[in-house]
Amino acid sequence: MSRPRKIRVTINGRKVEAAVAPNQTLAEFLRCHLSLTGTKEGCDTGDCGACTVLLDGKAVNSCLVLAVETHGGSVTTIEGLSSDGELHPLQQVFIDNGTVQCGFCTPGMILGAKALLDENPNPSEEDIRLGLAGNLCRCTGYVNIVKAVGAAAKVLRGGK
Amino acid sequence: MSVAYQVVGKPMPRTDAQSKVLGQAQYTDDLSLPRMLFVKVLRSPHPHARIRAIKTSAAQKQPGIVAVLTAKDIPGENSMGPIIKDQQILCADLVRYAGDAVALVAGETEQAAEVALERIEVDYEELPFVFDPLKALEPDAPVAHEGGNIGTHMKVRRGDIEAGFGQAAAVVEARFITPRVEHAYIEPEVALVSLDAQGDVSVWSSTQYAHLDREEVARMLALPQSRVRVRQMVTGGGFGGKLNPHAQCYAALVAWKTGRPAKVHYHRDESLIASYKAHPYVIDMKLGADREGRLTAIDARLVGNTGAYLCQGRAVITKSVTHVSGVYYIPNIKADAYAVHTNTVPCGAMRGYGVPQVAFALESLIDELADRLGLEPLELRMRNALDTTLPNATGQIMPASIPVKEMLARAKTSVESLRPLLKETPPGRKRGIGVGCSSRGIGSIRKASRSTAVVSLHPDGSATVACGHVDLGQGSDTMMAQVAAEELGLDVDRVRVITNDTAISPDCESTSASRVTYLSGNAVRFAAAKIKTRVLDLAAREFDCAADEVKMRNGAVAHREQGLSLAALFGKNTMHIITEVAEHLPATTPPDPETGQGKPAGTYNFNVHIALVEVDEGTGKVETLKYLAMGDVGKMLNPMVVEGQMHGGMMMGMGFALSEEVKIDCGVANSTFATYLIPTACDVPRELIVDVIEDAEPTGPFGAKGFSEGSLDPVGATMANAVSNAIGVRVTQLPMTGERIHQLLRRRGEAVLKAVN
Amino acid sequence: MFCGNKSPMLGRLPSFDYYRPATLDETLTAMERLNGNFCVLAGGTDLLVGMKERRGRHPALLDIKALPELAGIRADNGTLCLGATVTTRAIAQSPLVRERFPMLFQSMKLLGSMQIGNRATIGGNLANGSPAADGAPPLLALGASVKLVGKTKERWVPLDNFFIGPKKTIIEGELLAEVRIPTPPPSGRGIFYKLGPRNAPEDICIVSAAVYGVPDGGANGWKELRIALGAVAPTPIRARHAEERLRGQPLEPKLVEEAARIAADRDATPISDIRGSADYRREMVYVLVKRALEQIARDYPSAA
Repeated sequence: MSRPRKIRVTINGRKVEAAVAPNQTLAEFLRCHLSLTGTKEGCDTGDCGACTVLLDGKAVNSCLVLAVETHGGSVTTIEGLSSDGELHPLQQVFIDNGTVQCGFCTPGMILGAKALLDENPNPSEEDIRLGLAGNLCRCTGYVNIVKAVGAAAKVLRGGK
Repeated sequence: MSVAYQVVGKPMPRTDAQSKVLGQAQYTDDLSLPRMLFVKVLRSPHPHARIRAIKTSAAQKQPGIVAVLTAKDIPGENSMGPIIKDQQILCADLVRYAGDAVALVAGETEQAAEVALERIEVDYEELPFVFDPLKALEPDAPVAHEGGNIGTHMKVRRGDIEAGFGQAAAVVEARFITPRVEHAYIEPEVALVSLDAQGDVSVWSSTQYAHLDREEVARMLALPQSRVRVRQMVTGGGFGGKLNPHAQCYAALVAWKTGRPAKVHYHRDESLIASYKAHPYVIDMKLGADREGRLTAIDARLVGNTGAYLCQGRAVITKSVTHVSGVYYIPNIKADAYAVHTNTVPCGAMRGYGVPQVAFALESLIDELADRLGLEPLELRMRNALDTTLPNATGQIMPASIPVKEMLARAKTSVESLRPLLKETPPGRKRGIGVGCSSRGIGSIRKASRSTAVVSLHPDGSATVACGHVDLGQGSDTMMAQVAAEELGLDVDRVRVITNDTAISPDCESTSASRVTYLSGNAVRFAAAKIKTRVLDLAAREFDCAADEVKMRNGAVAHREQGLSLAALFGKNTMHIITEVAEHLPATTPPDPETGQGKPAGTYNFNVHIALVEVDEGTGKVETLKYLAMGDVGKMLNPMVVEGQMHGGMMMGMGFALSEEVKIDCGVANSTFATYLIPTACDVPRELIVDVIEDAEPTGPFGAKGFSEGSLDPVGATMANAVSNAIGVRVTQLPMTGERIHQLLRRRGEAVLKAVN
Repeated sequence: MFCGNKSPMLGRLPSFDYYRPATLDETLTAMERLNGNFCVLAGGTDLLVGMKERRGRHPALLDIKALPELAGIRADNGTLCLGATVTTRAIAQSPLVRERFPMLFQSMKLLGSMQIGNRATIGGNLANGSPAADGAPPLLALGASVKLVGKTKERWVPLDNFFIGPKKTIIEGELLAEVRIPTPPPSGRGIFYKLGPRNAPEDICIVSAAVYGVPDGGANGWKELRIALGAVAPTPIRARHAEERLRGQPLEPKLVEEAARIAADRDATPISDIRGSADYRREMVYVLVKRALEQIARDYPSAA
């Protein structure tokens, strides 16, 4: 009944062609089909943000996007953020600021933060909190995460 | 005594932080095996029913279905539980809460298993049920659990309670109600199990206690434990909630029956509906003090709703009742605590373990009492605070590392600095300041508990630590590496800590009760120290000097200008490795069952918190303007880890205080993160300060002790005191949702009107 | 004592057919052919959750995000035109909306998390028919209309007539294509309040309220004054009784209080659910409407 659809999508800069069932979510496609397991599934209902990826540069919950909907688009996952073994500045500040505990929210949180900073390179603390509201974390109390994103903004702006 | 350490006491990112920011850390659900089956669990829709028959044939016939299993397929014992094994893995005859597991479906895909699940027919005979623990205590209440609805009754008896109240110049009492709380780890329960060619069982799981996974799986399959190997994968949080290996058992049963690898992965609603929660309490408490503000007596009745199964209810209740007097000396105590069965989701361990609930009641009454006596709340606390000479509720006196008075003194300064802000309250708002204190015995207090570590030093100057206390994200592996590195004179990155493999890491009991730093930290340190002694002895012979003249650093030994690499030293002595085992078993005495008296914990952790809140008079909504969390940790092994734990515990407490409550309609009513509301980044206090008090614990590793739960313990109490102070009405129920506070404001308004008229 | 069964549990998406037409015409043809056995897929942030929770089963999904006719924000001769598939976050980020329709901006900013806002569409927010839709009260208060397109005809429906029950709208085999909002006069002023259980934008509101007013420039009060409410009735509603009470009069404190009380007691017909009791909701209507009216009165003391 639901025949697979062929999609062409750029994942982390690489062109991917695949046949996907319409009911396969982007999160399932990334994790099961492409073995990109850095994208986590925490709630399946778009409430926790652990599955956040960038779709055409915008942060989305990949559990609420169908893989077929990404046809012709471009997806960045946590695996695509670092290049040649070099950490993205956000990844580095996340380590340095003690934001990582269990780490399950971390990939989604970093991508959410990336989308936020791409749109707003100089966010206030309030902007950061609002921007990250869709990424739940149960370990850290968010305090160091908010601090880290502020620090990353500085680094990315070229300041110190 | 002040010693300069090389590694401990220094802030250091977690050893696995990089793999986590890169998305490379492997969690259980990231693993797949060829021919792997997906398992789904059929759960009871009824809170209490007898199973007359289960028809599985229609489900069996569904495409892609490999097995449908029920209780009769279990070859060994059909029971599980972290402490008390009173829950069936699959219910054979009775279901006792909506969510109890009845059957398993194993399919080639998750979708196939989901479809087939709906084709299993269960014939239930519905039975009377009870949700409310107070109703469950009534004589003609439905029986939620055979053996009676009172699962446990624990007591504390000290002094003469009537004489104590007789001496009191003021007595306050109230009933306090706390919510059922969900752990809400972001990674739901997940387990993968496969059999090897010899039929031995391999389990990969998200767990807080790999050895308990092994024990339960072995018992269920009637296998010796030696034939089950469990590897805890990177675990996405636990907070007490991943101690009962249900998912592991389900996957193991399917793997055993089908011979194929099997994975169980709960969706969020299944996690919320089926996994155990933190106990909701109804607490009746009465507290008296004399004219000088000395507490004279406390009388408390704690009723914890343990739900359908006791699993850990007895231990939680014991923790509560032995902590009934908090950080204060109260000479006369009568406390009775009950774990009461109802037909609701079972309750068990959660960060806090029964302490946040009693702290809320006690600290609220302390404020009420201060008001009656005309004392500052902090002054009343100071006059009764424990020190090295006064016993807590169990009669235990702590000879050191009990900085309560110092913390209260600091709190006084902080409160004074906040006071001017009360004058800046905007119109339509009310501001208030609250203080809350808590104390916590570190480790299991019901019985003595032990940690064992195996430390190996390799000739290349690296070391392996094997110790079965898994890291759930709190950072214990990093701290254990620091402890071993410090003792052996190595850099941390030369130390590998293996806590997650039952074939390698010795059983240290569960990662719970804030016990890892104190117990395993000591075990690791002692084992490393034994190695160091052996190395220094060998070196002393080489250098012809006394052992204490030898320095051991960076994989080499030295005495004055002589030096030798460990490789050379080992070679000369035909050693390939030096391995030592050590244990730590604190000298404790469990609380007496009739009086609660004993010496139940090796050490205690203390917390004093302060909040400045603003309440919207119209909506009742509470906003936290400033929050100060003071925590006593002994000495910090890793300030970055300590800070992270204090932030996290504090915010978890904020959820308990303001928004979190698992509601029951039939089963769990709010089974998504859109309805069960944990704090978001927008809910963090506008200003949050963490203040660590270092007062070395002489029996702890490098002066350290446990602290990870303590940062949660007093938050509900602190926030309730702040809100009560703001609105002028005593809050007696958590969480303080806008609606509840609005009701209190309205009642106060009506009372004022009545008084005027 | 009755204890109803739990609804089936969350699972993977059941199978369905997927269509992604490229033009409006193709879409309408497909809709006719599928003859009701489909659901329109826009952002999917509600639809897919419902399907995972087994609340809604649909044999086919019709993805309308490729239709150029349904995309984009534009100003057309004094009217703001929002294509149905414009995301709520795109609206919140539009300088035009931010400057000229601050109330709409406010509601879109608080509609959901960044991730949800990047997918959720204004068309979906309305067509979904949720009484708690964050977009509805401001659009009701601003006098918005929606364009419904069918195979043979199209019609414009004032949003006031659009919602007919919980999860029910006036749509009959049509596609919601566009939302139009008449540009308010420069003196127009709107206030939107959303009361959620936390401080998070993704909270589904307990109550929301939008008040929009245009002062008449003289001492007689307000040329127009509209009050709309969310989550306190089977649909998003206008608080007509309260509006009636205020008509043509200055917003004096006593009147404001009376009107807010009318909104709470007569206009709102809330139910109790997991987010709040009917009682609390009613009281919150009073509080939010009063606050919004007071705010407007403060902004325009001459008209107050």
